[in-house]
Amino acid sequence: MYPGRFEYQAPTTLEEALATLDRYGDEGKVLAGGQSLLPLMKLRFASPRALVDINRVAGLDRLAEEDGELRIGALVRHRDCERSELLGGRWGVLADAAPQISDPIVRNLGTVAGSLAHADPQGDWGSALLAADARVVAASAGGRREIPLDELLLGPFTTALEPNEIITEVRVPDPGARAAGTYLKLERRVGDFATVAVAVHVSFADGTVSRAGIALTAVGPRNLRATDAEAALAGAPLDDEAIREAARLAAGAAEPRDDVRGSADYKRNVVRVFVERGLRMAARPEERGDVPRAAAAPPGRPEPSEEFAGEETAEDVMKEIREKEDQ
Amino acid sequence: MPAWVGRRMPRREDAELLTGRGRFIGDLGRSGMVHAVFLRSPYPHARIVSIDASRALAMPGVRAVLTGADLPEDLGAQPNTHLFGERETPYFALARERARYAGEPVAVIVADSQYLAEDARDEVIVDWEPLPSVGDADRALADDAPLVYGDRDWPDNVAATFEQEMGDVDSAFDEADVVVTERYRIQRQFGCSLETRGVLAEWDENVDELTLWTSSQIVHIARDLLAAVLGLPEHRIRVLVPRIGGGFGAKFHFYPEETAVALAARATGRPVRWVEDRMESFLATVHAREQRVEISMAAREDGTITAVKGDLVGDMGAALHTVGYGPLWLTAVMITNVYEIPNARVRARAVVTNKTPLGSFRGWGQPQANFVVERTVDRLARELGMDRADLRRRNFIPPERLPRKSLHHTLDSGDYPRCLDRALELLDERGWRERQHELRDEGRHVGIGISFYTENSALGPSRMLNQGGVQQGGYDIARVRVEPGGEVTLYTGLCEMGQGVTNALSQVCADNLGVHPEKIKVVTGDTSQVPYTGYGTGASRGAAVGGAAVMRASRKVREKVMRIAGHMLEANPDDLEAEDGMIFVRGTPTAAVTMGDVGRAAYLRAIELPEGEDPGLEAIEAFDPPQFAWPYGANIAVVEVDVDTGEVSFLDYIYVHDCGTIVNPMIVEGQIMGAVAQGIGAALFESLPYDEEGQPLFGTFMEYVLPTAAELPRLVMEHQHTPSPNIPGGMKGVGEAGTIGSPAAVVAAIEDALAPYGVRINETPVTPSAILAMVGEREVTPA
Repeated sequence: MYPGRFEYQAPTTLEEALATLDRYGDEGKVLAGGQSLLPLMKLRFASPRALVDINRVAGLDRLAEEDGELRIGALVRHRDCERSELLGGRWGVLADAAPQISDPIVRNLGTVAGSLAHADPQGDWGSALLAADARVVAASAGGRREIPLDELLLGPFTTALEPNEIITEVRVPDPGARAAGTYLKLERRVGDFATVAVAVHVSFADGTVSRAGIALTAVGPRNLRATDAEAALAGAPLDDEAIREAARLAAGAAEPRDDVRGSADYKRNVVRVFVERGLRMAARPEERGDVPRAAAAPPGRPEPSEEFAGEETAEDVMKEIREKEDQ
Repeated sequence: MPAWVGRRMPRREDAELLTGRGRFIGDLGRSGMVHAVFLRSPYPHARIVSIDASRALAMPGVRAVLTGADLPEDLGAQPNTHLFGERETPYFALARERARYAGEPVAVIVADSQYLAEDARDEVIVDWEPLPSVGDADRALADDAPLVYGDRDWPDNVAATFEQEMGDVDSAFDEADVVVTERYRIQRQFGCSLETRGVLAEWDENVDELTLWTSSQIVHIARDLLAAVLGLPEHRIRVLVPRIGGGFGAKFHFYPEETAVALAARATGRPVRWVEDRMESFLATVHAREQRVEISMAAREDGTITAVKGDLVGDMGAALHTVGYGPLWLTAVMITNVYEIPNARVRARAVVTNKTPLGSFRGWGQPQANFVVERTVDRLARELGMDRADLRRRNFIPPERLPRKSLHHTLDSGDYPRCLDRALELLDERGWRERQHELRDEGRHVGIGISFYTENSALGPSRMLNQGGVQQGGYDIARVRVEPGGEVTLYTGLCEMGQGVTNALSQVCADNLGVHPEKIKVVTGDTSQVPYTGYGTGASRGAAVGGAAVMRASRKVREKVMRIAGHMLEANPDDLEAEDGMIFVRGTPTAAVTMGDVGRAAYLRAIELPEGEDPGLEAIEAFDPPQFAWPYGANIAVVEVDVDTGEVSFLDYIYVHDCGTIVNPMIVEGQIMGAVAQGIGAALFESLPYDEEGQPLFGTFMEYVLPTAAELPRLVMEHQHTPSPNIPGGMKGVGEAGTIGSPAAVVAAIEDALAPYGVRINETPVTPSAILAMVGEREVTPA
């Protein structure tokens, strides 16, 4: 599991990075967090001639709200999103997605923009940001353009980006004053890719839904938008009947396949269950708990409260070890 | 007076390991060392028409490419040391002419760096002729199945059939009030370690001697088998085992790569290192567990189980590896568990398929036996309308009737009802049976599962092993030396692989010699230094068999210490005591000498020795257990199932057990927690599926789901203590125990949680998708 030979470039300005990438064409790959690219290279599934490492490029790590829009720079890590106070509330769907991505080690390095450029149908940001109606800014030596996320994601590991383009920023529009959402993810164990995940992002006006975003992870060739469900919700109150109907429509939009994580029927059903749970949470945001993971678990699960029968705690043990070390 | 045995002590190696300073195979380097990678068969079954390595060999930095054709003519096949009467399934360091499973090593490529070696591997061209293959034991048993050993004129794919019977099974079934029959499928799993395997070999051409570092649990067995395969005398090979990052039985095996890397070192004249990469570990390291079992139980209306019969099919993969079909055999002979069932019959067929060979994994065949027996006892309880615990109590071998012979073994000692009762008491103290009703009324799906296990440990009586066909002993030998300064060096053939055995042994030595454990250094993993161990580090034998040997050697040294100290103090040795390195006249602690005084006398100042006393202060003693030991315990799992998504979460987990004398409770508890995690892995997560032709449907941790701390329950654990009547010190062993009863308890709990749906779960792992397929889709439970 060692990669083949490759060249390594580490530009310090965006202009330099774009020029370098332009030079390599489709033989070059952008290295940001590297959490997907490097494993692929180690497995020798990917063998780019050159890596263009953008980690030294200044100004790409900005996470900020501007004109009501959320802006996520190319070097903003999952961990930054997990910790940012900008997410949450109106962008609850993003705040809930961030801590559910892989494990802390991946989140410390992996980037939001890199995840979108990688376009893994099992990626979490794809759905969370689709639901939030995001778009990306793509820059190349020839200029820059904005691409709605729905048009960026073409299929498994395939995007509308040109080989010489870098996503410099992700832009998430203002969902209005009253918005709520969540990201529900079913994983076989913590840190796993999604078996199924669902992003729900709803804006309200005058007691009815003004815009609904629903997107699905791991049940199609790319992150999918449940457009029929979104349309059915728009303009109506978010009541039980509307929720159930939307969940049914969303399940119909899924294109799951049988695999080691479960059967297609199973996954379709989980889409239905999660859309329903997610919309209920969006309808009553004040009742939601702080920990997004609890959303996927049955409500009110009793906590095992007893301490382990042993006498030592981990701190005791480490203290003892340290004392030994000091001797 | 025991002072150290029974005490909670952190492991001495923890600081080293936790701060990343442990040295494993991957951390070792030798001057001039080069790197090996293996080219493996991509086909489940294929003939090797030709291999062209010329392009690889022409690459700069590439030292050698060895293939099956390059192996010495007289190289031995990889040995099987557990001969229970089976057809031979020879396989070599590298496949010769044909590969019988995907992942079988075909060539070893040696280069100056790992990068170059992997680059060169891509340039080795193999011309394959794929052959018909079979990826499933049931299919392998069909009349028209492709033959795995057709080239050796096997008429079918059955490597061995084992049968054993006691009592009159047929009459018992004829006379039974109730008969239940169930079929179970237990999946492939394996001993997946944090550290994969690895080998470093260095051949000294001048004296024709080989030094081999290997991540192995069997330091002497590895040396002897390597000697046999290479045709070298044993003393020309030195095997060393550095730190091991987990073994779990998978490293109890002697692998083709160990031979191949040794040959590569000879071919290149360089030290050669190979470290198994994570992906190849899923195919190259032995798998375990896979069985289909049909079991029938006969009982009287009052719940007395009168007979059991089992028909087992073990999917052995493409060859019988180092331990033959041992695990399957153990499943078969443990079909009566802890119950007084007078009539029993088993048949076990070891079937070959085009899959990675099956081998050892913590628990050997016992988790399978426990699963099928305990689940069937539950079924019988349901059939009889009896409480599950009552039915078990009624059939336990009562304490007064132990020791008692079951189908094959003699269960030694203990009190099974007391153990189960305590576990149930804890369940009630924690309110679960009451709470289950309340939660069910709220529409939640909460279940309780019970299982009871015994474990075959302290392996084992050497003569019994030999009689059964094992080409190894079951004894252990320890050497204890007091150095001139009074410190102690303890040499053991057991390997430290994270289980803490060196700590346990030093606690035993400390008590029996009269020194502080921190004054004891334990030397492991070097055949040039440590005494021979009969069976290697496994089978829950370290503390019991190794501990008893250490006890004997320590006492022998202590006798000499007392004689010398008595001479120095002008006291009768019988009046002396030793504690914490001081030897003093009982009742008069001021009249004392230190262990250092005695050590100096023994080595440097013969003038202080009693007349006729030999210099030196060490002893080497063996212990061969007269019988196995049989620890036992109860698992109770409490789970909740989300019937909308099929997810299972643990609400509680109770574990009450008896493993005899406990040397270090922290180690025992850690062992149980880790083993229960692997049992839960079996119940819910881990699986190595193949397609019908034997193509693996796994390859990374994406497919092989290991549970993490987040998925696991916090154990509520209690120890009971019935010292082994057969082991000095009374230790019974515990390393594997947690894997045995946990799958049955967890699956029983899920079934109980899903009682409203009347489901039966006879197949593991129980995934969320499988659960939903059983309960069907339903209206979503409103939050």
